[in-house]
Amino acid sequence: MKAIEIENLSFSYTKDQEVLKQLNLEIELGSHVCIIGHNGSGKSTLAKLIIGLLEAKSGSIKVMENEVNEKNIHTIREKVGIVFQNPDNQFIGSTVRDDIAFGLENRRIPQEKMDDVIDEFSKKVGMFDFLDQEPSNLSGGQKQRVALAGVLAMNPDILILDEATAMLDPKGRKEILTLVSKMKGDNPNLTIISITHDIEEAYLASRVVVLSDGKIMFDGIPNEVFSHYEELLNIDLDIPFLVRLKRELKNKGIDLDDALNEEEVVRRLCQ
Amino acid sequence: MSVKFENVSFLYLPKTPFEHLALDGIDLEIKDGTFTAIIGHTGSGKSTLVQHINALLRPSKGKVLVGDYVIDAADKKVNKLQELRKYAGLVFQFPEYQLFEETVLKDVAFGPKNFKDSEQVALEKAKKALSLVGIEESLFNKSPFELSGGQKRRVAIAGIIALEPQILVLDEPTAGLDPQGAKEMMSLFKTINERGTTVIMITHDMDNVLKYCDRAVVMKDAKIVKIEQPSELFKDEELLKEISLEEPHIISFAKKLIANGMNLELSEIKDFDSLIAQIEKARSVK
Amino acid sequence: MKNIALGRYVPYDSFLHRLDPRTKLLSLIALMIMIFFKFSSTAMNFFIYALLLIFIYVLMRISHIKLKTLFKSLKAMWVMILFLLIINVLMPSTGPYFDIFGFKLYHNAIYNTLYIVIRLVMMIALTMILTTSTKPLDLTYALEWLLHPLKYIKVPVHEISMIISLALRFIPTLLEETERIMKAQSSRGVDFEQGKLKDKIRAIVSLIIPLFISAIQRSEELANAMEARGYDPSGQRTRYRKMQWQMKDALSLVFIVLLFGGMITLLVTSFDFFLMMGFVL
Repeated sequence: MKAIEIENLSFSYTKDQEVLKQLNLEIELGSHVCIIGHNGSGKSTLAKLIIGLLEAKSGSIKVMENEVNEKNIHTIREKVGIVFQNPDNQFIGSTVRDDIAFGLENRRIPQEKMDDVIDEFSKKVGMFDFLDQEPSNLSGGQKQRVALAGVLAMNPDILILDEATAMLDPKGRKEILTLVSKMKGDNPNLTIISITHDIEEAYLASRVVVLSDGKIMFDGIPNEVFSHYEELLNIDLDIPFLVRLKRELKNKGIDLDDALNEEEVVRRLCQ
Repeated sequence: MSVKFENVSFLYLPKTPFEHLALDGIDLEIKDGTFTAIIGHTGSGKSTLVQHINALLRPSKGKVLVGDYVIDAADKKVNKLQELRKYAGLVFQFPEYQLFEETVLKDVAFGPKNFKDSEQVALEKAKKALSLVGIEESLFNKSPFELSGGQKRRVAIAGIIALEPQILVLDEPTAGLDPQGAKEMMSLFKTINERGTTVIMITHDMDNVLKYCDRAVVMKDAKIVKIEQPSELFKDEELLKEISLEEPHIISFAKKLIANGMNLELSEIKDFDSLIAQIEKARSVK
Repeated sequence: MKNIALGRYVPYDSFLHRLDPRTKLLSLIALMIMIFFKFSSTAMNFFIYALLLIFIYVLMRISHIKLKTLFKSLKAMWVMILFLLIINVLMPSTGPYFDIFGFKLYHNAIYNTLYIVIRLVMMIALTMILTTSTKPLDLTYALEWLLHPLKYIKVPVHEISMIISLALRFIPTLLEETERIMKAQSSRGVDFEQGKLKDKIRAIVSLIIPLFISAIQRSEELANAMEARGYDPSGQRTRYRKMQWQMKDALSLVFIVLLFGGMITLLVTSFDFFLMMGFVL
């Protein structure tokens, strides 16, 4: 079974401009995929299509063998959780506690069980001490941690991060990324799809998908994808530090292409 | 002619349950023509500090001198407030939210018109500012709401540049932009700075601080803890730890090289190219 | 901006804070009705008002509201009170009057104005007690509970209550945003305080349009976030916040019922304590 199967997916907001063009994509269960692309490449649209907030014009999307359509929408949303970009606009409850409870209420979890779930997941994201705080007293990073707790409390198989760290400061960003990799460590079966601008984050994923103009431009392991240096710069994407470093050094006649990580580069440069 | 803070304190929402000291005894001088970065964690008082420069906030104690203008806690009113706001232009975080006119051009001309420029002069200034930020003429008569996120940001920044301020204050101007957009934005500010405008910028991006700024003002808990050249700042391991500041990747990498015995001049490293040049130099000497 | 909302929730741990919001809402309604009772004589009216005022003052003390705070919120109403007095004075009336240079100032006019003023003060004080001692969200729940019967005549009670609670949730966010846009436009030379009417209109427009646009965008993103987390307004949901009747609620309600009953009895029997003692005002 695949986590996501997308076939010939097309979508447009207006008549004359297609945002996604005949897109094909498969994502394995339990994998960690980063989707990158410049603004307007269609990556957030893709996320909204997967959880059925938008309806495809043509083609099909299957989430764990369930076709995304009106009839299956409840099943889809039980399997997929999503954290959006803006911390303020996805904080629904009046306090941290109520916000985590919101999803549980929708899921008809009995009230007696809610407190245990809320305690468990607020602890996991380090927000247990803030349970009765209102959103206006929280930082952006803290709000995103609450959003993450709210989504994970519903026990999804697939977690989509739709630029979840884009509006955070470096500290908040780091916290969220550490948290996500911890979640993945605790639950290796969790499929993570991260839509991001953060090129260093993408470099650490197990697979990188580059979207450009509604199509998949590159798809593979980070080292392979980022070897397409010029093409990526051409579509306004950045290059991870290490890739760029090796590239520039090679131009100066220092070939470290086969160095696996930063430590090895350092060691060999200093030999 | 510079920006000068003299023992400035600012009490946020005094006499309410939310009262707290957002600035605590700030002394700071920013010289004309410089490019200064204000850094520190969210809530350290950076935004509060810069909003004193054009008197959006008024000190509870102390004095702020901006060019010839004085903002004194003791005075009830700021003299020539409008002139001051033209002299020191402030671009807010996510400035695209301030757009409201029917067309891009009108929106940028809105500021100059408020400062009593004639319609024609205002439009001229708007056109100049728009071309400076790289907005094509074909977009001038479009609604600002039809533009992409990056373009909106540029238009909003043009709205302040059109005031032709002597001091340009920027609150996280590259937040939320894609990497390429951010890069173009930064080189725009560099150009403006090189034309003689003082630039003061709040940022979380240490790469930009290192590459573009001549000084960094480090804030923590409503106080200034350090004022230093960026290249020196990142040498100060203790300070970096104290304020849990993340150094630029090129610096942490260079430090690793130095720790492994390579002879690099850390102060010379400002960006990627200078890092490569330093590595080359060190290896050729060996 | 954040300190403008008088009577906003203040987190103390008082008896009133701990009462069930439904108890407080029902009591408020009962008390509001009592305020408008008119008894058989002026003396009786003032006597009952005095009792109610003392009772309300006690409630204020319990919920940590200072008299000063109450007076602050009354400040804006002096004009209205003066206006009421003038209207009452000019209205033709009967009964005893003061003769002021030939102008008949009826006692009734003064009493009627006083009644209105006292009622206003009590209404504001009661509302204040409710809002400072009850979280807005709890109040929404209480309101939803109270309106529950309307469901059977197809009033979307749940949706209304969800809308109210979301609105409450976003008030601080929107206030912050308003402040930010005002500052941003001030930096572009807008003067929100002075200027000619034309400039003022422009200033307001430069605030309202960005505010609307961001509110619309927010609501769209919020709707997406709610839907993605499985919200279905027509679907069944469980509820995290359960309101729990306790002994103190029962006792409080009994007290209010007795008070209400007592007032009704006085009203129906036209009982006049003062008349019995031969005292006429």
